[in-house]
Amino acid sequence: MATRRRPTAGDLLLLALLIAAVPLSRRATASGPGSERLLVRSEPAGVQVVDARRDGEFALVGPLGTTRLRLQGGAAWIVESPCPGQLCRRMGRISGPGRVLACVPNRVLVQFEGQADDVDGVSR
Amino acid sequence: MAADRRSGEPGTKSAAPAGQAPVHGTALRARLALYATAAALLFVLERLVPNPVPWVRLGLANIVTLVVLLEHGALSALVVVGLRLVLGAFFAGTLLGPQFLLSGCGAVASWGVMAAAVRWGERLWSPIGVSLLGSAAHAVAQLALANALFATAGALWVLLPFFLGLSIVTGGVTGVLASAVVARLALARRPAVEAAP
Repeated sequence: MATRRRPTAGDLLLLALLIAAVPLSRRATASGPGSERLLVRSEPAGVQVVDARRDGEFALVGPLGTTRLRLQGGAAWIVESPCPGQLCRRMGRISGPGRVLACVPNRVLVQFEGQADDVDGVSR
Repeated sequence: MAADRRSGEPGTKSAAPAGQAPVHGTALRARLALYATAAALLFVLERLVPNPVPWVRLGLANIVTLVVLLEHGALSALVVVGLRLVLGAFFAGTLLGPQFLLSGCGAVASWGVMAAAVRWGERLWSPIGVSLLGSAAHAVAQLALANALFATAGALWVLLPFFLGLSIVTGGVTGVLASAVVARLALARRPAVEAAP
């Protein structure tokens, strides 16, 4: 080995494996801790735990009626709600640990599990 | 490979790299001291060069580690790694600090993987491949220790893709340079050919 200067087939294979490891490791480390579970609280149903990786639509029944929650591509948003102000729909889409959607009149709370790793806002 | 074991290792027979008499005892210690000095010098000089990208170092000192590994074996290389770490940290002012621990962890992991690669993979790869393996091991070991030291619950692993990509470049460059140095050393050991009358 001491006098071998040209790359060998083993070197090229190693190089290919390392290059392949870069996007694979990025995919493996991309999700933050706890961002794969969605906690859904509604009354009287209580707390449900939903797999955030699975797309779907959920009907959450509360005192005012049914709030429809859609989960797609790791993001969640309220599609329809019986509350008068429709603030919950204007909250838009949430994804990532610690993010919250709430429909207070209809007693619905949706939250991605885990600690948020950034600030909620900055005041100057 | 000309020798199954490198000169200077415990239990080494008289075999040595082609054209080199076995080096041991005082002569070996003197050589290792020179190697360690060269490695520490490269370590310090590398940090004096302005670098726009933080944390990115070429790891030129690893060239010396790999050269010693190929020329004198794993144990000698470990001695040089230890001396280089202490000397380099002393001159950089980071002795026994977190940076010293991270450097040490990476350097030892790199040494271990490279020594194993040389020992069991001599037919599979050249010094370039060995250096690639060592560089990747260095990156993974440092991230593992950093996660443990700073109690980040694994959050620092998100840097793994970046450091793996970087290790490809640094490992390749140091491997090529180490390979060239070893080839030069082998050339220098060849007996001089007298000119025809």
